[in-house]
Amino acid sequence: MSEESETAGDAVSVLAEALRAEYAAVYAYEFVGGSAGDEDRRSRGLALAGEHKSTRAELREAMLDRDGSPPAVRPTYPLPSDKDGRSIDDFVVGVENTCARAALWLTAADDTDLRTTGTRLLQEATVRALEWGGELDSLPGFEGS
Amino acid sequence: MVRVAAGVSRRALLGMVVAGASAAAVTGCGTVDWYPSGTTPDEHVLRSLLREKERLLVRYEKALADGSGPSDLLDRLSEDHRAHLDALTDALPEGAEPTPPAEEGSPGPVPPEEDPDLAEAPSTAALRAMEAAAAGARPDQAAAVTDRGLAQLIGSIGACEAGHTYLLDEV
Repeated sequence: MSEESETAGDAVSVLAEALRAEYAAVYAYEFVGGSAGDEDRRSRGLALAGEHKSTRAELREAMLDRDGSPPAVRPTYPLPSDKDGRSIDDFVVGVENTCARAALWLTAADDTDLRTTGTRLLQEATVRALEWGGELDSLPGFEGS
Repeated sequence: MVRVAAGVSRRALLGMVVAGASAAAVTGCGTVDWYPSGTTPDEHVLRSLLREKERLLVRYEKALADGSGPSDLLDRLSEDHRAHLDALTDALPEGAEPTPPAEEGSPGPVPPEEDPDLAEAPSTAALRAMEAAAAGARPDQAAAVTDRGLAQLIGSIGACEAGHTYLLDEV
């Protein structure tokens, strides 16, 4: 989590962190949708880009409702160096794990609406990571002990 | 306000939860009268989750003993539930018993191993439905507690249960 968002209960800070993760996820899935080596991954990538765009819009609205300013979108985000199936899958699992960690911060917000949203997003990110071949941890979102 | 570092490990989180639940138990004493005998809202949710996990584990054990389901997967998912049970037990206020004494005039909960509802081995589909129901309950439970670390723990447990639902659906 970045310096400005160190306070776990601060709604605007945790929303900013979640939004940054969603920006990266939309970018990642648009890349997968356009560049993966097989039609199945491209199709799933495009569908999930749409899902993450919806989440991005939801979080952006939540930010504006709380008089916060959404963070700036970066011109680029990390992409995999290879486009083979395994590389794409590993890359996407990493993207979803980042979304899960950001959602975990939302679950700690003082604002209970954000907690509920965070709990839902954490579940969604966990399941999407599994769909791309990720491993299930007993406590998703936390870094390994 | 609790300030947190860049990432949070499970160990660090559980330390925060234990500290938070203990503090809540002290500050809440005598101020909350709709939970039994001084139990704080956080402890009430924790104990409810503990009972739920114990019952779910009994169901998994019955399914494993029955042998009709995917034993490797069921064994793995049971391990996750044991990890949740340990984390939730650790989050109880310092000095609290995992199983509280029954309230006066109340029969108390039936131990899972003696509950006739848990006598039969559930099917994989039934376990899937239980996992989905558990995951579905977590958002409201996370919102109901005062301790933010406990809310994170509940949220994370719910995500694991959503993962279980997916894995059981894939069988």
